[in-house]
Amino acid sequence: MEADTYEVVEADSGSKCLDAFGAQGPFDLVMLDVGLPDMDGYAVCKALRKVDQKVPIVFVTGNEDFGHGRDAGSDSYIVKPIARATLRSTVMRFTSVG
Amino acid sequence: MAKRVLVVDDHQPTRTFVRTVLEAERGETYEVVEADSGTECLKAFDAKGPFDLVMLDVGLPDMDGYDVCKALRNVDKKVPIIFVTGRGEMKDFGRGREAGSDSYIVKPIARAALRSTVMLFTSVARKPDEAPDTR
Repeated sequence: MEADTYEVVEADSGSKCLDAFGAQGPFDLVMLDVGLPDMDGYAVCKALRKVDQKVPIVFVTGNEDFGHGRDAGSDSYIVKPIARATLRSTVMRFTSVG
Repeated sequence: MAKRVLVVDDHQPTRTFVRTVLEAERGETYEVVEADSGTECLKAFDAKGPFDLVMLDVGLPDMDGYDVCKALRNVDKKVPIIFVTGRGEMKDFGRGREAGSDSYIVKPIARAALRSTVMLFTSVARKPDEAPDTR
């Protein structure tokens, strides 16, 4: 992206996400898969919300049912397969707010 | 006060693993009760409760874990129920949620995933005012 610089930290499981959030933060945005290999993405979202009420959390999901994500405390979602324009506009929108 | 966890799985090493991890927890005391079938789960839930959390295998030897979950929900609307499931069995968690469960962790159980999920849902149960929606 041209207008802003992003530093991306990766995590490949729910527990690694929680570890990284605590150890490598602060973050301006979390993008969270629903179906992680070790635990429920919604539970990861709730656990993040317990320690940070403000950081934007965007679910990356295979379906468009956003109700559970919103209940878990997330702000938005994008649907897989991820469209580049959707990713860019969603990330820009939520990182510029913060 | 100890958090009381009912662990339902016909695979004894899984029950032992959960017990070992939770009993080693420093910040919280957990009391683990084991059941090796759906029938034993329902009996234990009635006779040895109340529990702060139920961890429920999907594939039990005597009945469907989802049916066990629904039966638990018939008698207790609030207790957090966490499914323990094989990889890919609950990708979007739809069936478990429909049965009334709150979350899931994936086998083989990762210690950190177990710890964070159990901590999350037992603390929600203790402070319902802070997180009224546990679904």
